[in-house]
Amino acid sequence: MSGPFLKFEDVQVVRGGVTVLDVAALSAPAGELTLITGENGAGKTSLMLAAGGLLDLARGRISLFGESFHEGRAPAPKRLRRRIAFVFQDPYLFGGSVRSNLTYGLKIRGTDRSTRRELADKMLAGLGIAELAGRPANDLSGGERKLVALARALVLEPKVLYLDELTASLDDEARVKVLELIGAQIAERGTSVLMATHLEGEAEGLATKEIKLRGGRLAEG
Amino acid sequence: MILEGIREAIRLLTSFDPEAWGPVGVSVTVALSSTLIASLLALPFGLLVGLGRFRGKRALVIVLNTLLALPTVLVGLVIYALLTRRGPLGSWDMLYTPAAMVVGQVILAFPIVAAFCAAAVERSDPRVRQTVLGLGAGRLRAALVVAAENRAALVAAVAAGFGRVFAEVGISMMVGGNIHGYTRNITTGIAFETGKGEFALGVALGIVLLTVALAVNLAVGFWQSRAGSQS
Repeated sequence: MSGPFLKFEDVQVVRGGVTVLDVAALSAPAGELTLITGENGAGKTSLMLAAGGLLDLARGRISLFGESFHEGRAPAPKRLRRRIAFVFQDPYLFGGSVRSNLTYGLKIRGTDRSTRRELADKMLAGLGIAELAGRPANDLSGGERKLVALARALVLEPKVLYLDELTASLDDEARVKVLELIGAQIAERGTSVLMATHLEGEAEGLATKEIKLRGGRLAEG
Repeated sequence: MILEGIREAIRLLTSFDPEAWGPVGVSVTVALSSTLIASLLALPFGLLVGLGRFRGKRALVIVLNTLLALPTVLVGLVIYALLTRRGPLGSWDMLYTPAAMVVGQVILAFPIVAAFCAAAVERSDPRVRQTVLGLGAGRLRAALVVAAENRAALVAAVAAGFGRVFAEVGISMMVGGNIHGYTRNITTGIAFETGKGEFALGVALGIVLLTVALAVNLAVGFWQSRAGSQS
């Protein structure tokens, strides 16, 4: 097992006056898939958002690859956030085409226009949704939106991937394909993945560690 | 009398009578200038208030909302007191000029545009900012994307500011002075002509006022429907 890419030290998150996450210590191994499991409301999304530097921390510190990444007010510094890509539970797609959604993250990283387009089209083709490239993003079904959000994250070639209920609205065929793709990312690129799910047995064989949450706290190692 | 006024109004407008069209030019120029300046100041301020987290935010929103009901004569009075010869800015020699009207109207439009902008972005979908930050953007870019994704509401905020300044009379009368061919605009023109018993010209100016307001709202409605179909 590799060293951890993510470490929580005495992290507490309070939202609307309620403590939604209270974790004394947590770590996730680099280059592997760690599952975050728990019932709805267990704190999985809060954990992912905090780990991505997008939620204020009432207390504690989060490190990424051994470097202090986030403490106090969000957002964490963008230099460090750019190592991470998210697929949120209910992904927001910008108005405009599917392709423009994929090129957005590349654009803010300074990638030139032709390379952006090339990478976006290649990524869509890799996910088997090349025909969606020119479609308005807001005309897509729930499953298609998830796939486009995944493509938007993967096209950034992140070191770290946070997936929140990624497979929840996918059919079986898409689900298998997506999990294969995540497996390939880990094997070929050494991507560190954190995946939140409430589904029993999800990503079996891919995950090397499971973190169970209950009421915002660790249920067991 | 009203029908007669409307007939005469149509004649004045279609014959491009300068008595009717002169004040229209002043109104449009002054209102567009003040709306533009107010928007350039108020939109960033509204974004800051709507998206920011700082002590006193609620109080600031309450002040902005209170200023939505700012009486035009009060703004006119304050600007007059500043610009009058014996006032602190009297040496600027701005009283009874279109520039003085613009200053007053900027003060009038600013809280409208800022308050509507702040309310729009504060109530906007939180996933927008989260997504942009999640893609590696900084806070400024995230704010700009939130603004872009809420552009229909921001255009409505600017239109509301324009509507308010285009139809106001107090500031224009007090610091513009209703000088024929210089600072007389539609609203001061209506008041002046009606006072003289020249109902036809007053009605003509009223028709233009409503037509411009209608055109602005049609343009905003068209923009919003386009923005809605694209988002």
